[in-house]
Amino acid sequence: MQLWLEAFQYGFVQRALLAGSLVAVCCACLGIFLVLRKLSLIGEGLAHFSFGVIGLALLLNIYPMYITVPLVLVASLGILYLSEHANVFGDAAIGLVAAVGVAVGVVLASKGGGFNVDLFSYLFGDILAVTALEALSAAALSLVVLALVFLFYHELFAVTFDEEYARVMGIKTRRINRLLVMLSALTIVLGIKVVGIMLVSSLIIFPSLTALQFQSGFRAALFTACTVAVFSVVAGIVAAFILDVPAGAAIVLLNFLLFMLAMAWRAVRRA
Amino acid sequence: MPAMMVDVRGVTVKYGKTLVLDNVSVKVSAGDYVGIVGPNGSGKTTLIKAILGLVSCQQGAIHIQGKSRKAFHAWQQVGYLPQRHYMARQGFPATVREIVASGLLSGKRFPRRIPRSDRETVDRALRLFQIEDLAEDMIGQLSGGQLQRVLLSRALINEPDLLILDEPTVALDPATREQFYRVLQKMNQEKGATLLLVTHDSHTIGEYASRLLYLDRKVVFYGLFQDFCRSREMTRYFGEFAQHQICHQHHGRSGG
Repeated sequence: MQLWLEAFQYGFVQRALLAGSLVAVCCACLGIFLVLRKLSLIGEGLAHFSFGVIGLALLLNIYPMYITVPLVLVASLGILYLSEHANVFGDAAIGLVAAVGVAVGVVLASKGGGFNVDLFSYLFGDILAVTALEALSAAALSLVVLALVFLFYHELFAVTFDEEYARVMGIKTRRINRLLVMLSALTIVLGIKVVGIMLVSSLIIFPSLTALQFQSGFRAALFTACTVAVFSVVAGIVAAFILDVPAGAAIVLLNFLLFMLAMAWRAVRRA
Repeated sequence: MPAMMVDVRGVTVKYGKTLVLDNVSVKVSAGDYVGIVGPNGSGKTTLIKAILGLVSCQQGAIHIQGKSRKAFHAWQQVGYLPQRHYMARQGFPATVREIVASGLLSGKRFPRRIPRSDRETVDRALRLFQIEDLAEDMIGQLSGGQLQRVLLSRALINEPDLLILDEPTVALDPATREQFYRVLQKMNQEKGATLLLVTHDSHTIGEYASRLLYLDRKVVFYGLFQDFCRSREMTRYFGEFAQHQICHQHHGRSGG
């Protein structure tokens, strides 16, 4: 009991909780829109693409965030462009961008002397090693993402439910689609530090799927997804501290547990 | 003379190499109630999508309320009910109230907000089709007919001047269909709303619509119902029996 309370007293745990919670809220907010539009795999695709970019940054000895943010943003627009203009289905466009990213990452890693510790920390996340500057920049970027979701909430809702009708209402649906994928790209980059490239899409998918089990209105679903996401990050970090396991994996497994509980609750309610 | 609501001038639309609309011209005056009929693949849905800007035209021009479609921004004056592709939205986590309220977005500018003061407007739209009891139900759990009424309420929430409906009565039971046509008639006669209604229900539409547009990629007939019924050319085109079937309900209404 004392051990988990003790966890909150450490600076690195506090930083991890701050950055992790904000990133989790961003992932959950965007996740609802992405899951309902069957775009949730964009998280997976962009995360894999960022593997190549991080490999490049490490090879050039540049702080990865500096080039990951702009290049992943460009990749997100590339996915949208391919699916809208190049007669490529959305999932195929995601797969294409992801494969290129991983291939570039592997080539660069081999040139840089194989997979080193840094690259591993990006693959599987290392939120307990977040510096104060990283926590603050993650917080700032998260607030930008959340502010934009708040400002464009009704447009995002309308486009998610019925894109054609949204166009008839005068909503610039292409701009909203671009906004959604760019915010997703930004959030994915932030999420990589929390749970890593391999698991970041789960932060987008799991809280949304858990929230969708409750079927209680769109705002309620958003609120539930955010609550689930923050709870899983906080509890996951504490569990990682106590059990001495990787925080990223603990967060994802906790999310899976919450999803199973929500499914069971729904099944019991239906019976 | 009533103002021009929709002016379609020589519009041609192709999907790839397939010609869907061939040099179609139609003028719809304010207050007209136009039933758009024709066989499958005749371009009915494509025509209304072209009017709404959802598909682009290879040739021709479309004006709404005297403005070219690109210059037209008063979308709150246009209500639209799409075909029933939204059944794919089953499981969507939104309440009926949230969906109907979203229709108000067309009249708003950035940052679009739906304040609590709009609640009465939403309630009024829900009452139009007596679905106020469903307000807090989830959209994905409704029957096809209930869903159709919800989307009609969304289309009518701004009391639009122009209402475009694509096969709106498909999922409705006879009683609801009758109620639906009455609501449209009321909007047309009392509020002067202009209606464009795509339907396969060509036998019933004559009871309500004042004009008939028969499309088969080209305009086969466009004009008043009574002119259609008297036209010998249309008798030759459709045959006497089919023409009589379409005209029967219209004669019933007009006492002809």
